[in-house]
Amino acid sequence: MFRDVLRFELHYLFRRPAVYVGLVLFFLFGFMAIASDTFQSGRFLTATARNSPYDIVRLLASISVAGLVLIAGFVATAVNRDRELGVHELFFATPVSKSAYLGGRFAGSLIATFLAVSAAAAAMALASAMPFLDQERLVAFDAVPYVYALGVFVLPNLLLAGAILFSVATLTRRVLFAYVALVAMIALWIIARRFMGDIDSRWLGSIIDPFGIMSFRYATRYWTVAERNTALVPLSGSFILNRVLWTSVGVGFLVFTWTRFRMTVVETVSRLGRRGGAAGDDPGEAGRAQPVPMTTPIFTARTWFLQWAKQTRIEIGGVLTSVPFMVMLLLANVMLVTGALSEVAGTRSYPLTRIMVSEITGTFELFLVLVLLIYAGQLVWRERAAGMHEIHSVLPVPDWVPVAAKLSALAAVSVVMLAVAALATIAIQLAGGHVDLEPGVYLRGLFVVGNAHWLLIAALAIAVQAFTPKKIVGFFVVLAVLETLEWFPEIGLGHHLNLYSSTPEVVYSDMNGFGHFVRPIAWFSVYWGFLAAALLVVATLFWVRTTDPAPRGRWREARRRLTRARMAALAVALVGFVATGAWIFYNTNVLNPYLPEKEISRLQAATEERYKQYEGLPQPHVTDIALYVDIYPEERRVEVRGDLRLVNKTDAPIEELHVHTEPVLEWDFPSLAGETVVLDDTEVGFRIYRLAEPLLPGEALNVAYTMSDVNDGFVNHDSNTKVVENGTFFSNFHCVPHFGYAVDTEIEDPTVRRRHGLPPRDRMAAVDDPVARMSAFDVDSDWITYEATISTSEDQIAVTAGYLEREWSEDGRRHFRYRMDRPIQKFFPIVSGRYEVARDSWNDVAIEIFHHPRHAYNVGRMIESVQKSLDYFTANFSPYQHRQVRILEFPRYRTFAQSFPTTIPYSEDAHFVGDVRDPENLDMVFYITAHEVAHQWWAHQVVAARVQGSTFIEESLAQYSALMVMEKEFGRDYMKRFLEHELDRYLLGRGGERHEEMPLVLVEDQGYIHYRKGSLAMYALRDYIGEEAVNAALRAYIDEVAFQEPPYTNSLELLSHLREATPERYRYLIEDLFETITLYDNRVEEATVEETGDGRYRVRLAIDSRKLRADGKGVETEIPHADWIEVGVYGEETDDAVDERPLYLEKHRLASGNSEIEIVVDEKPARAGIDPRHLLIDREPGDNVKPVSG
Amino acid sequence: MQLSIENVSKTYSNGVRALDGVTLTIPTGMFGLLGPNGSGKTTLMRTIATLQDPDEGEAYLGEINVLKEKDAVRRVLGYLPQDFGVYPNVTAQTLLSHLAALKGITNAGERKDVVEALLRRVNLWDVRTQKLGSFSGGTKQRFGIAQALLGNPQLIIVDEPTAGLDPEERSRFLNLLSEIGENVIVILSTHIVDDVAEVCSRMAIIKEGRVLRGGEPQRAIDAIRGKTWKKVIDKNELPQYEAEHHVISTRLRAGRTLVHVFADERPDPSFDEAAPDLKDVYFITLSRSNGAPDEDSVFPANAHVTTTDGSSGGKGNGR
Repeated sequence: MFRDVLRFELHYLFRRPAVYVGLVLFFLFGFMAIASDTFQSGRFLTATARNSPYDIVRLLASISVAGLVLIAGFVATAVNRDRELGVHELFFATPVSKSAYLGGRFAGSLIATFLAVSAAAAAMALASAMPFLDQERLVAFDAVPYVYALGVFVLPNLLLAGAILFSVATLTRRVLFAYVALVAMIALWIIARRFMGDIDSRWLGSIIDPFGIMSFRYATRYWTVAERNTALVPLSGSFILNRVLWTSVGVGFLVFTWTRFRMTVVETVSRLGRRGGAAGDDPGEAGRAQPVPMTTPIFTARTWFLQWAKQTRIEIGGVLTSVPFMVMLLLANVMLVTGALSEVAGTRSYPLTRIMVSEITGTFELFLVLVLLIYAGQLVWRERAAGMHEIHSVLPVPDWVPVAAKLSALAAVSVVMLAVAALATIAIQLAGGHVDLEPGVYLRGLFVVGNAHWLLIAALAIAVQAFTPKKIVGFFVVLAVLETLEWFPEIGLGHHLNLYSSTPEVVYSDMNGFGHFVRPIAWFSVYWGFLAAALLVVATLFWVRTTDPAPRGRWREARRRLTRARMAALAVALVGFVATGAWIFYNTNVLNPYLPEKEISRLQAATEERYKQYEGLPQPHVTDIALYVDIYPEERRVEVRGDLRLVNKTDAPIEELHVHTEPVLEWDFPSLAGETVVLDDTEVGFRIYRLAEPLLPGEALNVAYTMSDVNDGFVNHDSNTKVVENGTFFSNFHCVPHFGYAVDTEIEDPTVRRRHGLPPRDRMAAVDDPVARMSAFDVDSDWITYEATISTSEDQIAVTAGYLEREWSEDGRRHFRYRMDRPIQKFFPIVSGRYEVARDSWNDVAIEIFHHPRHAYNVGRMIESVQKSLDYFTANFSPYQHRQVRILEFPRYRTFAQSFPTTIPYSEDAHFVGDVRDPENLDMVFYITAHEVAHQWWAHQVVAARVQGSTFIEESLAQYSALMVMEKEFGRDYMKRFLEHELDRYLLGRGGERHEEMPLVLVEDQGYIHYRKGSLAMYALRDYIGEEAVNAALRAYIDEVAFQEPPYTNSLELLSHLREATPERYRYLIEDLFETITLYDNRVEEATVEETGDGRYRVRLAIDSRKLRADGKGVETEIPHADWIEVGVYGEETDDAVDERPLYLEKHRLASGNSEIEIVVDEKPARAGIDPRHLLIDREPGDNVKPVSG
Repeated sequence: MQLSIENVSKTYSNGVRALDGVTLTIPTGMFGLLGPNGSGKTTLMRTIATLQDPDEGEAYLGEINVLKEKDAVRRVLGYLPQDFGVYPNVTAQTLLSHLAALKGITNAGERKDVVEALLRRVNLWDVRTQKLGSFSGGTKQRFGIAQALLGNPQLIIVDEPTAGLDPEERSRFLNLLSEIGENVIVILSTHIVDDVAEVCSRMAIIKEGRVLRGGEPQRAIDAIRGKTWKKVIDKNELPQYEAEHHVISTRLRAGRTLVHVFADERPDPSFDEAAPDLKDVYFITLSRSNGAPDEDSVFPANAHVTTTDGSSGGKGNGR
């Protein structure tokens, strides 16, 4: 019996095109996932193979989620289909058992879905064999990962989703509710993904993801490239827990459905209805003879307005009272609240309105699209679905009224959704004690800037629904249109003029508001608005008001409806569309260059091909810079005049001067007007002058230049965010020409290089490359003198590196004259904004914080950190070379802090708005400020050569310096928590490596190594050899290399100082921490305690310790060791959890493998273990400590 | 004002020829459009109600070209479709008021009054605050009637309006219609002969898209007076009678069969003369397999229609 139903179901499904469409789509999906760079997106930048087992499993797991679409189509409808077709009564009358009926239906539709989705696996295997792929990025075929992924992810996920949707649809008898259940599962998945961001909630996230993708991510988070290329996640721990849990949930749903399902026909007329009928049957006599009063229908424009208003109201009511809408709104808000709370917790920011608004738009994007698409269908088909279309169609209502009403209703629904969301986030803000609600930001952010997009999508959906023969077809047509548009950038159609309803990205900044983003958004919205209007006019012409919607009749009717007024409206809309399009094109492509990503890399490649030949050609060095900068913030224009002094520091005459500049800016060199221009490549910004008189060794040449950064009109993407109305910030790279070929402009990514036919490129010069050691910040300069006069608008303050010599007002503008009193590297910022300034001092050093008036939250903390940093660094390293430290806030278009001499610009997002009130949270403001101040030593005193290991000197030592300031401030226990995060981020970073992981001393500008591993290694060294020994070594190093002329120092010189400072027995640490990639696998296997009898406690530990060396891809080899490793015993945790006092903490010399240790302590121990403070890098830090058992 | 339909034909895209050269002139008053299921009644109703266009032909409502000036027709139209639904989550009062606004009754006070009056007339006043989704078929039908009468329509089209009504409701509705129908055109499409017989001053019988017969019911009945005969026979005798006579209808009665036959003269003495009614006219007309419409002549034919009771069950499938 079961087999008959199953066969029937399969037969039914396989006669329909949907299964084959699904099969083809998933095949393409799988093929592209491996073979297409687009699908690979960020991933193709890493060194992991395209078809690594890790990626096969990961991709198939994700694809199984996409399979939910088929589940929704086949499984959810398997039983309801019978009911809709009205044949369920026939089925129920047959002797088919309930198990056979439900089981056959479910199994049949599940099998069909599984087959369709499995096509992706076959396609991935096929794609891996494609000869056109980069063969270096492939591993040999192996069937195991495919089978694993199908068995562990695809089948369980389809079963789970199928079970839930089948159950919901079958028991509620409404497919719409099944779709809501689908959305709920996806919401849970997204919430789980949120949890993955935080180290403490990760485990929970790995459990609650119904699709197991987060548990996969959790299990593989520290995987290296080598592991990704070879390994599968073992079926253990939270991973298997997740899979078993959710599969059981699926089975549970099926069992529940089986018990609740009745093979009977349920009468659908409610009790209420019968009562209603009964009441009607007993008429009130009074009303019977009452005559129907005469009415006077009026048909004027006022009537049309009333009709529109009435119809809109009833449509809105229809959406707002529908259960699926309410469920989705609830889901969206649950996600919003969890998301916003975890965002606030993760960034430890104040709950600012702009953060809330971006959480709302981020979370509601999906839900708004779904609601608009679903309800566009529901509303357009509402009368037909209710059977009311005949009555409705013959009402004396103009054709446009229903179209307009349904659109207005959707617009109102989107406003309601966003308003509810705003209320939810306002509650979060108030609960967090944040009362500065900025209603204007809510209003503009949600309803002015963003809302046009939703209105346009709604208009498209309504227009499409007016033409499609079925609701569901219309839904998928719009979805397909929107998805296709996502792909347009790949085929060179990335201009927003081609992407319906899209506008250039807008970034809101507290400092700069919506700034220059408003204009392009307004124009693009008008542009798409005209097209939407045209679509709606056409929809009006074809709006179905007939019972015979055959195409012939609809065309005839459309021609009849095409009145003069409508023809005019259509013409206006189309002319407006073309005209605004032309205006936008003029702005984005004529006034400004249109540079899609591919064009940018083409230009980069062209530059390299044409001018790399000149790399290393002797050029004069810049020695003195004097700038005259006029900033016009309201016009977003900057005019620069510069006087440069160039000196030939080589020992041969220089005949040609090569100037490499940013091509989008206008450059002119009046002082070189007399020289012969050999080449002027304006496309990439490269000029060659032949000097009439060659520049002899030691001779100087004065070069005057001008540069204009003009931002007329608006651009399509990547607008200039350096020059803005409030918060202009650019550096020397933007306003000083580069002499000689600038190697920094080259494409770094190996895959992109190969695509442009460029040869492989070293990430960095070798640590001892003698040529590379001749330059540091830039190849065309060493130490320079610097002065600048900057003017800006009356209400702004302009700042650059150096001391303010003079400030004056002239012609309604403010002028500032700065001069640096000692040579610096060619590295300075130019900043202008409407600032409030907080001033303080440390000894004779002036401290100034230039901040947005509303962002005073952490200014005091920053000043404290500067003071304490100066205290520590001057006491332990060397005197501070300047007399001031300034921190300047700039808008959040860029999110870093950067330390220039005396001057440190901070992004708005870099903790200007961080909430550091809770001592439980790490004080990021204090830490980052200390790190940036430390760069005044490590970058501006000790200047590293541009070779491997340079960031070990500059970044790792800045990290170490900041750690020491923090340790003094917060104590050593606090550092343990900080370092836990550093370890996590180091281990996470290894898997995303693009080339190969380097040891610290040879680090090639790899953030996860020079920051994260740098912290860990330096702190471990400090723990083993002592703070004073490390600082003495650093002092000696500074003495030797500070302010040196080229050749500049390299990391080997630093390392030799550190090695000298390390006692013989710890010497191996230098190799482990800095020269190799060394990891430990330390674990306590047993911890027991017994009382000694004299009131003391004897703790016995069984320990396993292994030491591993990894290569650049992460392949590990165990090496024997006899290293000093800390062993600790801890008492009961007190309420004051921050202060974790050990009962015992000593370094023991341990051999590889198992050891037994006995320790006697005075108090009752609770936990004990090996390397409890995580001084050593260990991929499983969780098993280092164990509770002791009696 | 009168509605004139000239030579209207309609063939659906699936090849069904629903209307075949229909020509009718309908004056004010109640007009019955009588025909079996699938005869084209609904297609004709929908055509007049501006819901679909014919392939050929013209229709005028007074001066209004029905096929071209749809909006003008809609302003004076009251329409009750054969089968309809309503927004389920709205109350009767709300939806009726909503429809009143859409029908151009812009004055809120007027709208309130007319809604109340209509709800009382169709006996929905006591359930006006209930959601329409909870209404049973008959209750919903009464709501349909109420909405068709909104805005003093000059042309009222009701398609199978009495289906689903109980006898009391049916007669109340027919009374309401004929009360209103004194000064406007009311077209009542039905397959129930009694509906027409009770209230219609004019009628047409339609089958397979053609008008078989038009005119006043009474004149049609008069035309066959003295030509219908009845006899009670045994069931097994029926084939023999059918072969020998033009049987109009048969009816089972207490295990025996009552046959009506049509003949100019009494077929034999065992037949009694039957008083003819509209049903006889209807069946005689339908039983003609083909022929041109003719007001008063009656054509004998072999086919006949059997019913078990005065009104046959089931409803049209002209959708």
